[in-house]
Amino acid sequence: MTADKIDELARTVAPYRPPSSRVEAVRSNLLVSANFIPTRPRVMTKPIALAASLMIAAAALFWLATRTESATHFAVVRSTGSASYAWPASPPDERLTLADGAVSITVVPRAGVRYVSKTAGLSVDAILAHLHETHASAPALSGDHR
Amino acid sequence: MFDRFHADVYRFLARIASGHLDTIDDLVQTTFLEAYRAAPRFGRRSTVRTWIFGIATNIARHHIRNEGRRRAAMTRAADLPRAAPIQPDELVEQSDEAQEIVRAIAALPEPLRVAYVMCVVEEVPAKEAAIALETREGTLWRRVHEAREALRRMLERTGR
Repeated sequence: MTADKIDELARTVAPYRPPSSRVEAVRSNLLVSANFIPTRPRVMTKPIALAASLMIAAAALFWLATRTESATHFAVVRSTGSASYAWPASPPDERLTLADGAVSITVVPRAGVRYVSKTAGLSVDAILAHLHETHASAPALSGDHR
Repeated sequence: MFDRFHADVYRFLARIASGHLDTIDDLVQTTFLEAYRAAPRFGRRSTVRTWIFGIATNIARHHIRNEGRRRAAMTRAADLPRAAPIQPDELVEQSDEAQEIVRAIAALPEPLRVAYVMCVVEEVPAKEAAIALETREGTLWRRVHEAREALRRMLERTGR
């Protein structure tokens, strides 16, 4: 028998032909089983990924914005309370520490100003006035007390 | 997908797993479940039919391998009856010549049988078949050639 004849014969015969009842049974099983397969359709993946990227970008922008803002603000913390002041001009470029007895003010560029009062013997306005006198770009004395 | 391709898959699996016709329904069902699961990863590098044939080949390979181990273990443990076989009326009535070729194809080594059935019997282009079977086109052609030679020798031995 030639190879062509073998190929031709092989194409025409099949060892098994399923009856329709068996095909229908497999079809039914598949329909049931498919409901238990967790799938994530590709069409939904892109919008979800896009939304997640936007949220991450928004969070990053918010973080950057608050960091930038914190550099133009400083906080004065006392034992009796705290206040936050806007720094209208550029904040000091270097770490600045002012000492006045038990009171110290630390100006930290890009991270705001931290002042720690251990005795609360100096008023906030006095500290600001001192800062204003000693540092040219210090803010005006009108602050946003909190 | 099942409605469109089930006849092809039944026929393909019956040819490459002809020694396991008693579980052909299970193999078909598993093939379509796997295709459903893998559908998002379908890369359109071949037709859907060829892609499903590739999945069916892997399913049949695993089944034949596991079944061989299971039967060997069962034979060692006890002489247990086999699963209910397919009824005779479900087997296609064939001439002696056709029965010979079905037997000869079933007797081919698995890689040659898969290559021959996919490329010659189902007439899948070799390039697509190579992608579906994750092998090289040249290897596939060599297997087809070896399968043809083996079939010819087997049929000659039976006087055809």
